[in-house]
Amino acid sequence: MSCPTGHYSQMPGLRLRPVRELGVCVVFAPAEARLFRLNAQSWLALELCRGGTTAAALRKAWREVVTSDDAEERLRVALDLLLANRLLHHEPAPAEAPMTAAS
Amino acid sequence: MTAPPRNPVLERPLKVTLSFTSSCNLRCRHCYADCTAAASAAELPAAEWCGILDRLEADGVIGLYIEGGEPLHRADFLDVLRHAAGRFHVQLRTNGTLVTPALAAALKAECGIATLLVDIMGPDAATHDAATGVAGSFDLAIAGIRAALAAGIDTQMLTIMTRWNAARLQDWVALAAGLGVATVGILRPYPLGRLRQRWAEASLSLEEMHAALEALRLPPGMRLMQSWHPNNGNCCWQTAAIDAFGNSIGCAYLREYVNFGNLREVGFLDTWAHPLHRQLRSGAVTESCGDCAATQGSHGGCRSTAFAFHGRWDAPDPFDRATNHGVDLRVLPDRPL
Ligand code: SF4
Repeated sequence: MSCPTGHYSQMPGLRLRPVRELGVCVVFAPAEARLFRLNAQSWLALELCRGGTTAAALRKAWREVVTSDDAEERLRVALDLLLANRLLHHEPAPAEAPMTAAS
Repeated sequence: MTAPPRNPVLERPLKVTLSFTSSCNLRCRHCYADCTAAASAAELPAAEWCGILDRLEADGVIGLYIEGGEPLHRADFLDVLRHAAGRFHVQLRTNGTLVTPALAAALKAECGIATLLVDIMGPDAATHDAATGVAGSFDLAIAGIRAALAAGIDTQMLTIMTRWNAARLQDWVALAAGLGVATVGILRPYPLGRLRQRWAEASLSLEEMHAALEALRLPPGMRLMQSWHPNNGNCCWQTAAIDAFGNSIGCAYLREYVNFGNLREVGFLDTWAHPLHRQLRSGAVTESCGDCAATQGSHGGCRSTAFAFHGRWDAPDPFDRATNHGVDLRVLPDRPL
């Protein structure tokens, strides 16, 4: 399992609609013209990335809320889901940026 | 004693149906809105619709289901759709006849709609045009589906099951497959508008409806949406709707039964808090189908059809096998609205 690194930010134009009665957040992604229903942890991860955040700051903020032993794993799962659904943008740290043909 | 089951509670709605206009270029014999060729002057103009969209967004609404009449029949409709673009997940229901390649491109690129739902009442021009009352409407609607698919829009085909088309549903499915439509919906008929006037002629018994559904063979990969047992949803818990005149009516299928207030005079959330609106959302019913509640996450079946046949808001839904209790769906009670 690898720790989150680099910089995370919400994809532009997302509309988050918390549904506190059901403990979920419905997200409208205009670029995909799709609605997503996020559970509490994915919702938290997405909220913490509002305005953009470094992975270190994200992990720190996450640990303040999620205190279980598997908090890091839960964060990784949430980030993977958000990235797979193109709700998050990830900028790798320079050292982990993919090699280009010219480099 | 166990507490009676209740539906999930939403303080504010997530999705709203907009019955944008009661005008249409077709004359369907099954039309729930009893549409006219020209829009009434009393319908909300585009500017008022845009103001309502602003309020809905502020109130937390995130999804719109837009229908008519035929929304595309009103020249100012795209102004409203563009106003919604990027702010709401939009599903647009249409008869398809006005969807040209240029319009489909605009619906995709400028309006960003999520889904186009096209009503096709039979597998061929003879069946469809007999339903719409307009020769040539089938060819135009099929061209509309092709244009929407070519523009990259998620395009689905809908039909309302009646005696006029039940025997042709397998051919209808084949038509959808041939067009490349991956999701189809077969909808129950509602005794509303013009279909109410021809109910005895159009409606099947519940057994006939199930037989037609069960005989269907879907091609691989095709998804069928249908709301009969065990999918008899009670969507009232999350549904709100606004008609062409600005009335808050809860659901398009409640259009002839309720009015929670006109948005020219009252706030949308005030109508959401109307005691009857609350009651319909609550799941306060005398009897519920456990299988359907389990699959749908809410219970009690459709309040519109329950009311149409029993005249009570807490009545069982006769379109569900478990709660039908011998109600003949071909015989609509003669009850003043
Ligand atoms: S009246 Fe029927 S279709 Fe309309 S919201 Fe209620 S259950 Fe759903």
